[in-house]
Amino acid sequence: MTGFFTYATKHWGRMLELLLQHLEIVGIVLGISICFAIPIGYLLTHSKIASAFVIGLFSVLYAVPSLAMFAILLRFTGLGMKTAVIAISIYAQYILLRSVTAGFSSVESSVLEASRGMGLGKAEILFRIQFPLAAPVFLSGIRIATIASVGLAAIASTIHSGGIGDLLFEGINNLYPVKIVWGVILSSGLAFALNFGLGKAERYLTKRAHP
Amino acid sequence: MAGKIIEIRGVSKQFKNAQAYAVDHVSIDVSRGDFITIMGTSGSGKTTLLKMINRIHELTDGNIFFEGQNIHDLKVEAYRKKIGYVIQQIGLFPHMTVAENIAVVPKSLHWGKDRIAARASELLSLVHLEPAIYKDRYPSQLSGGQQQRVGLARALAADPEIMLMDEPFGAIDAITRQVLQDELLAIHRKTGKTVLFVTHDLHEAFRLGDKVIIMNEGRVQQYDTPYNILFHPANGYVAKLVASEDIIEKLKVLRADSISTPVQVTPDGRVPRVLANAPLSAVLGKFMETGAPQIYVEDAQGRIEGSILWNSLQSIASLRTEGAEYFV
Ligand SMILES: Nc1ncnc2c1ncn2[C@@H]1O[C@H](COP(=O)(O)OP(=O)(O)OP(=O)(O)O)[C@@H](O)[C@H]1O
Ligand SMILES: [Mg+2]
Repeated sequence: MTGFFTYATKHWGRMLELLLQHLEIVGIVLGISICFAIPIGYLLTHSKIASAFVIGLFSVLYAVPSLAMFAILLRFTGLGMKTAVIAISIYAQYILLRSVTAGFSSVESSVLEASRGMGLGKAEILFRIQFPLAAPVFLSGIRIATIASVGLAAIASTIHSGGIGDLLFEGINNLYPVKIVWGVILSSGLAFALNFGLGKAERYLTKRAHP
Repeated sequence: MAGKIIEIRGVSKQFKNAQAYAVDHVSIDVSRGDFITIMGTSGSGKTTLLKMINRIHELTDGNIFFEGQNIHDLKVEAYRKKIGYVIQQIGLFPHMTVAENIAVVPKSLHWGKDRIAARASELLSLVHLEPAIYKDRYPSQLSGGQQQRVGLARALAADPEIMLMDEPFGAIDAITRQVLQDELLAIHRKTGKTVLFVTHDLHEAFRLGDKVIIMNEGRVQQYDTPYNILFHPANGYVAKLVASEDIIEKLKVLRADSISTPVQVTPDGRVPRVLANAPLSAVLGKFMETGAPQIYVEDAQGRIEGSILWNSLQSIASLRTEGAEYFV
């Protein structure tokens, strides 16, 4: 037990660094995937066939195990954070695309017909009607993608992307349980915290959309 | 200002993958200030016709002119803002308060804040919702009838030239429905707006419309006054449609002002009066009750619009619906 705390007092600097690295990966992944998912998801609402095709494609990619995905991408982008970000973004993209299309289709067709009929333009309908109403569904997708990314980023340590995974894998490889325990605490703590914060935001947006 | 506001010329609509025409060579003129009801059974093309007027559906064939201009040449969003549109599902924006819902089009037209707020209050009063109580409520906090009133207010917000209403009272109980119908007639009289009102209820069509369009299978069967549709049906379809109505039923659905004639002389204070939108059955009751030879028709403000003579009511009652030859 003493080893557990002394490890932290000795290495808190590195632990913090790994935690921040982890957050960085998750942050970049989400930034990129959201930037792609919202416009793509919006375009997909215009065509059922395209939507089924694109989401089907990502569902196939989603089914590839993460280590296999890393291994494939290694050949093209090499070791490091870049490969990790690309791989995790593919998984996040699937989750986000599904929630973005679900969000847009959660807006009642009568509401859309009314807004079209009263002469609002496409952009006005998007920003004044569709976004506020679909936002809670978007955010629930973002929350799930975030938690998934925290977990995947830990595994990505195997391709030298840094993050809390370093602690976990060092612990496993050197039979050093204290490191494993801290790795678990940090990564699941991060996941819990993000889940909690985003869950709050989601409830807030739900209240705004359907008061 | 009279004159035609909408001219529909040989308009047809065939949906993709559909064999039959949803709307089939329809030609209709609508004069400014008219209250026109469009009546027909389910699938007869009423909604499709309405949606072609505000360009939600493209025409397969024909032309529609708005104030003399082909609507195809108009900028669609600006054009739609001149048309108030009320749908059966109402389609209020759930994330906006009542006042915000009404403000959507004015905001989009960049009206000032104060003007928008004043307009919202004015319209809420017009549709009989106390602004102070209702303006900050959300649609989920309103009853169906109240939501429908807000839908009407929202459609009126930017003072459109014409109102398209697609079965707006379809999902409302009979009593509230009648209240809303009376309010709508009062609003029509007050604002002089042109109204195209879709319904599949014959009584509603007759009660509200100065003129009624009877549609079946995409075609206009008759476009005429309620009186003429009841007593001079244009073809077998219309004759059958109104045949179930006996004389009392007919008197119930015709409004007093449908047979009244303008009064020439200074009104006589002793003559009994009825409201313009009272049914003729009530006029009949008044005649029997008072024994008077003449009854005045007045508006809600007590102004006399015309008079009905006992003789003219009697001649209706003795009229036999033409078109009996359609039934063998
Ligand atoms: N978007 C569409 N695509 C294909 N067919 C359609 C479409 N909208 C309507 N139709 C068809 O066109 C015909 C007329 O429909 P419309 O909605 O105009 O009827 P309606 O008179 O409004 O009926 P209701 O009283 O039930 O509302 C129907 O046969 C319907 O199936
Ligand atoms: Mg319809």
